[in-house]
Amino acid sequence: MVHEVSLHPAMLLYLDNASNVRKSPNQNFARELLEWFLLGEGGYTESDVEAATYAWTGHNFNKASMSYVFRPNHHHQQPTTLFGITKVWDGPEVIDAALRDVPAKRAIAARFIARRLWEHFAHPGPPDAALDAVAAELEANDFSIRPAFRTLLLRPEFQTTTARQGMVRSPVDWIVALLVVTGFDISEANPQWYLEGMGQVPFLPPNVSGWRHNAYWVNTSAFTARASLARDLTWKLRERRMFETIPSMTIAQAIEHAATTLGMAPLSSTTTAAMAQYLTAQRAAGHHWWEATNFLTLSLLAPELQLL
Amino acid sequence: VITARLRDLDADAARAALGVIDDHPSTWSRRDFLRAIGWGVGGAALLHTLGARPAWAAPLGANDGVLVVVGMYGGNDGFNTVVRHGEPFYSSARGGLAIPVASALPLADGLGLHPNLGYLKQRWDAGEVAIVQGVGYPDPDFSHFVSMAIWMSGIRQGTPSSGWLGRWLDGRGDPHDALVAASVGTSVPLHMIGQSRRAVGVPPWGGGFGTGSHPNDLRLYDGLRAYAATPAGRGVWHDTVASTIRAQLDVAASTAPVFSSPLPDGELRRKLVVAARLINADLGLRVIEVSWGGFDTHDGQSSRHGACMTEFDQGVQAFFEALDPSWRHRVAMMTFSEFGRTPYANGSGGTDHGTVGEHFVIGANVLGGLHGDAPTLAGLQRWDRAAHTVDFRSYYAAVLDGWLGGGSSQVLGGSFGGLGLFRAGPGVSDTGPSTTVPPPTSPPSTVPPPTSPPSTVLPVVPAPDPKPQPVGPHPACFVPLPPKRILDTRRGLGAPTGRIGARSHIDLVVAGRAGVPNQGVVAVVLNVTGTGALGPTFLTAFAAGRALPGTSSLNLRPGTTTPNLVVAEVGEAGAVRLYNDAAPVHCIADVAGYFTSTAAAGLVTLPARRAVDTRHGTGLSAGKLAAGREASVKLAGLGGVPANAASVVVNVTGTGASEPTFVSVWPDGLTRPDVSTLNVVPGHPVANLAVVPVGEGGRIRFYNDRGALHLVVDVLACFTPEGPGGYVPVRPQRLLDTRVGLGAPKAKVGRSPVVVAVGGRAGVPISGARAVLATVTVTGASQPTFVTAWPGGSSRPSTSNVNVIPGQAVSNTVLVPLGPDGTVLLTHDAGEAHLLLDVLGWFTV
Repeated sequence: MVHEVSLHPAMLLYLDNASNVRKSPNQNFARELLEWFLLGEGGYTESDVEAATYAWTGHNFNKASMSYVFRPNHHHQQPTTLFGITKVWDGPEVIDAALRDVPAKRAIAARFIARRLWEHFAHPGPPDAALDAVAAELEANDFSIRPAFRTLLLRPEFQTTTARQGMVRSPVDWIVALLVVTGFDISEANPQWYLEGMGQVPFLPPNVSGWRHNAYWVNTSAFTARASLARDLTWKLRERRMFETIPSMTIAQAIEHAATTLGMAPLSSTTTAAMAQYLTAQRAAGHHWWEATNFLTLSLLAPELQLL
Repeated sequence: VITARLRDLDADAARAALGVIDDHPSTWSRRDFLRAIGWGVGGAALLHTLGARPAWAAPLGANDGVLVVVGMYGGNDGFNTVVRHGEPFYSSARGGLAIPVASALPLADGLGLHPNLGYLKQRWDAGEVAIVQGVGYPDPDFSHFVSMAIWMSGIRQGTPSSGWLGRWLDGRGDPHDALVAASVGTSVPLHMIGQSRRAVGVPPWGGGFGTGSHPNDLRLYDGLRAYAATPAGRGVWHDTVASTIRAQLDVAASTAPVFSSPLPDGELRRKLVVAARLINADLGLRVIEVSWGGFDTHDGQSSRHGACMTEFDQGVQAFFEALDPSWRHRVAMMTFSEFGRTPYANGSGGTDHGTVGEHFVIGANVLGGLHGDAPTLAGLQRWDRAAHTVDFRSYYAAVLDGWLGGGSSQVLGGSFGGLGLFRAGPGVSDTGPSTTVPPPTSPPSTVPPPTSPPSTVLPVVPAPDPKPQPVGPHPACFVPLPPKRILDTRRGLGAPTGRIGARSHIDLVVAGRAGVPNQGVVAVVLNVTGTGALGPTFLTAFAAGRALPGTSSLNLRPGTTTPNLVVAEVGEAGAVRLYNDAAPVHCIADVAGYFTSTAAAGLVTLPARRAVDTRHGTGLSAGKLAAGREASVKLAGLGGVPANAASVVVNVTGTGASEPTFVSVWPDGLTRPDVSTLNVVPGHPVANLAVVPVGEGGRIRFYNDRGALHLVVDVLACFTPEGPGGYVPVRPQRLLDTRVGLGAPKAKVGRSPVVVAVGGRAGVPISGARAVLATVTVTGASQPTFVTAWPGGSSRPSTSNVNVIPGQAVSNTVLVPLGPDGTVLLTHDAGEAHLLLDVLGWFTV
């Protein structure tokens, strides 16, 4: 995948390897490749960046065909020293060296990727033992993700409370969860209007390091957009008579209905109490249609649904 | 000109591209634009280090200035805003666009205002308008987008990803979601976006989620708020999401009353009246941004620019009329625009993109009149633009330092002084301060900045830094922890294996580790050890994401292992940044405790007292502590340490070591932790401050690893549940450097003590500080001796704080009570040496 991404026109343009040539090298791609896609900060030296930059010279972009092109006359043909090995390097060999041929770098890469996986699926700050196990699996299987991911899922650390409660759903994750539990088609829901407000426009991460986790998504501006989306979806879902039967249920049944329909069971006692408080107050005031409608908004915004 | 216009975005598109759409459906133009030019959305990053901590509507202090920033997009024609009749060039270059002398509103000889600025003229006559002339920046760019980005960022070089007011916001100590800065509009522009924080967007028509008033709406809001009624038992993020749901409703509710009565027509008038009402509501807002466009007058300028001037004048008038008079001395308004226009008129009855502009600062405490030099126009040819006379960063610095409490050098990445735009500070009326809150303090300006660093090892503070003390500091209480190692670069613990490079840093995440909680941590206490240095260097610990302070925590030389206790504020991502200056070095850090705003123990300072001295049989039996041996000493009840002390602050000195070794100190009754408090080599006594929880039987325990050595322990303070002294960290600042004459004469210090004034400087209050935590560094000593620090006005105790090694820079953290006059005394026992003192924080009374 790293090989394919490296030569993809989008990457060539995004990180400037399109203009990385022998006489005027551009470090942007080579640096980010080592820092964010292979080894992580501290896993390489500044001279590795320089050598990798030369290795990637000539791997450019043809504007006429809008595709990748290798231009040998723009490729640096002198030996350079990368990861302690001196030779004439070619770009793709940098990837092979880091992931396969240089054991010290392979170990760093495995740990780096294991960490990224754990931090995406479990929680920031992975436990060392779990990290070692996932990294070992990556190294043992030529960086195949499937066995490593299996190991990750089966680790006891993945079952801990920390892991279960470790992640806030990103806007995209939350929208997907909403669509799954409501059965909505994305073309009807049109959630894209709220993505920028929530802080995540697909295919446009803030920078090459990608989106961050948890606190990155949690602020009042972003939550205004989350609430607006929940409100928008509420109107659409109520047109389909979702939650129509809520007013005829007992309060306990209504809460149970929301929890199971929206895939949030079991609810925390705090959330249950908040829902009961709402239903009690609204029932005292009447207005069945509003009861069902606002209970749907309340449910769509429940913390249980906003966490992985 | 045509080509240039075709290549450039128009002003509206540039403006849209430089903002983050806030809370409203976007038109995708920003994404399309950024994709087209290949930039990332650095500025859009919504980084928040810790979860939301709701703290709404905190009213402002009486001396907190409020700034309203008015953006005039498209490039305002400064030459027809402030008219220069005195320049013969004006009427000839402007031709039909020239404003007749008779209609301009006279300001001064040869100078008039645009005839539509009648209200502004009244304020000028009252001495409340500063006109800053010839504002621009080096190597001007004529693209709306690029020039707007430069103006908004406050930085001339590189790709801007944050704005000047955003970075000011980053440096503030408020909770992340407090309403400190707001943009009245549908998007938050780049100048209001920091690296870690950004302004809140307030739509000019109101009505965001949470502003309904129907009882059905209110019941929904109550239900949503109840999600945060009690901790859910589902982890910190569940509770953070719940409290942020509540916080969003609080923000919406706080701003809703602003829209409850009718607003005027006209974009700028409406936005400025919203701004005035937001200020009247006293929600804690310090900076409000409003902007509007229409200034790109390539043709039809006379009528179009005239309409802009009318809207501006009416907007300013509507703002000041809507502003409650009680705010009069606390509010200032400033203008900016991405550029000015060409001195010459073009062939279409308009002007093209120029360089310099004239800008206004308006308010009761503004120093009315002309500021900066007039741009030189004489001799300019057809397409020439005038050179700027005032750098835009000087303009910003004058506002930051004069009105927003300082910090311009951090925000702008350099010192841009020279303009004084305010007659008096915020809240100061003609009858004197209106206030109970003391104005921001600044260090004495009599200290000359050094011209060149006399040492390559120790950083030298480049100039007195007028960093203000944070408004309303919240003292924090100390929670001791059993020592635990969280960083060791020799074996990849907490950071990649390998030395920290020169002029590099690592961010050590402390939140959520070793017993430090994820939230509510104000500062963390670390014993930082440097070892394996490849050359002389120093380490500085400070809050991740902040500017590097001009202080050092630890001075290191090759062949030595040196620890020091540091107290560092926790910054972005719950991390402390460890900066290494001059040569690669390994770094080890052991957590000793943290300061929290939520719980625990306060400081009780004690008269410094020697509790252990194995040379004389004090505290422990006489004789060295042998290799692998432990010893314990009871401190509770000793020398004023109460029986219920949670932890003690001790200065531990090792001396007479027979071989290189380390000493660990920990609470009695616990297994010996894998940490080192003190690293000692034969030939030199070494001291380190330690904060140790009191263990079983009120005792603390010591361990010596190799050889044998004498231990000397001075008790300085303790933390008890009812102890009064909360801790307030400050941005580390050097208050004494006798090498350059900072804080004391430029001379080495001997037995006669040097007096260091600490109260009233570096954010430490003049009164109300019980004690100060500081790093003391000794350098250039001629003989081995020690330094003692004690409070001003008392007699010298028989304790030591830093053990001096000739030819080496040695640091130690000291905790020393302040004398009644706010001073600390330092003495160097034998011979002479240079002394440096970097203040880290203070303890409340």
